[in-house]
Amino acid sequence: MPLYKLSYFEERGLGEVSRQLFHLSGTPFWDNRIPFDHWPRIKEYTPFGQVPILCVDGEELPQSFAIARYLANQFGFAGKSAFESAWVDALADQHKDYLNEIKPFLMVANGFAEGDKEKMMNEMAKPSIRKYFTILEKQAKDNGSNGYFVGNSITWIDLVVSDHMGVIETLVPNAFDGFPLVEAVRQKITSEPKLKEWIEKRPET
Amino acid sequence: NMKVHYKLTYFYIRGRGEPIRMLFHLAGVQFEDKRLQLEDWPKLKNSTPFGSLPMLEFDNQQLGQSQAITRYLATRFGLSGRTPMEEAQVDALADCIVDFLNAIDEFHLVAVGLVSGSKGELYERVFTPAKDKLLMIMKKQLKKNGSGWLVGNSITSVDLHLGCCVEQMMDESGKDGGEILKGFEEIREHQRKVFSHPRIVPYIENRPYSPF
Repeated sequence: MPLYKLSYFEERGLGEVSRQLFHLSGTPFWDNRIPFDHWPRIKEYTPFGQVPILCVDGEELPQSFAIARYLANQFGFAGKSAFESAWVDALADQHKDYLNEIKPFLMVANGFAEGDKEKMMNEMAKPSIRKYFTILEKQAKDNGSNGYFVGNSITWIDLVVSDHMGVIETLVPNAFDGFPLVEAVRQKITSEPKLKEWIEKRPET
Repeated sequence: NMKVHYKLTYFYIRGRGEPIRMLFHLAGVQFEDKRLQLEDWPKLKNSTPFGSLPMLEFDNQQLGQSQAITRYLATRFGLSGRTPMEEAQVDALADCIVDFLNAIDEFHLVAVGLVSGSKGELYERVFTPAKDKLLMIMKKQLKKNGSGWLVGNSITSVDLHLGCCVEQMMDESGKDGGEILKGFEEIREHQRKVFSHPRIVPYIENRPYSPF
């Protein structure tokens, strides 16, 4: 078995989906959590000056979704056919587009930038959430309302969306009203025993 | 493998569709290269997976999102990297290019005339730092990899992606390679390699003109 080390900050953020893939598959790994004040010193030694970084037997891989996809492929959470994998990728890309749209709101809501949080929530965040979650709701329905976004088993997009919902619901009240099938995916994913166990014992962030 | 009929739909510009078009030409695979005029878009929008382009259609199926399409085709064509780790490196570098495109969005919208604004100010404040950050990553990777291509010993989809991106940098900024690639000799050489590839040259010579 390869030696895995995942380096990321002491938070869920972009690293959580990869941590979940390790726990779901029962694969041991070094969960290297970098305190924020250590980061400036080690940044220049990373391939792209960013985290997360996955180290596999000494070889480094950056970019959160490239890491997630690589691990999902290794552990069987990337879809069961080439077309299913491509759809997982497409939804992940759509997720990134959406994150990009609401980034200014998240920066203000999390205290990293100045701004009118209420105004941005109503004018920017809520419409973007509506637009993206409408796509997700339709996808869940087209996929057979089986509790997964693609195919008949967990894929990494299920993990990405479920974790993100946990972030948004602390910032935007009633964000997911009208999206019962998406909520059903989150329920199914978070009650998966290995994941449930990790979620209960992981550090509070 | 049965002959699949691929149809790629994108706007009548290079933009996010061009690396995919080049991928088909590089692989020598025929496809329907549907180029949409902007006024025809509203009619089509609701029948696309995500209300956006590019879109790939084949075998009565649809696939949206440029990166997902590129990855799917490149894997079919053997142009995605030769091992799982190489494939992941290709993905990671492509993600950096997408990060760059997102970072310059404010500049891009003014440069292509969709929004009014001060292009010069945005070039200095928004475009240049993002451009330098991306090209530094790519330069580091080219030096580390050593083959002249970004990943492995042969051309992959992300080489096309970077090639198109550098072209776009020059078109949208109105600056030539001398200024854009100053200090990035490795990238200049990489551009030359990509755009002199025997399967890319005839495509470049015959493709319809678009300003970006």
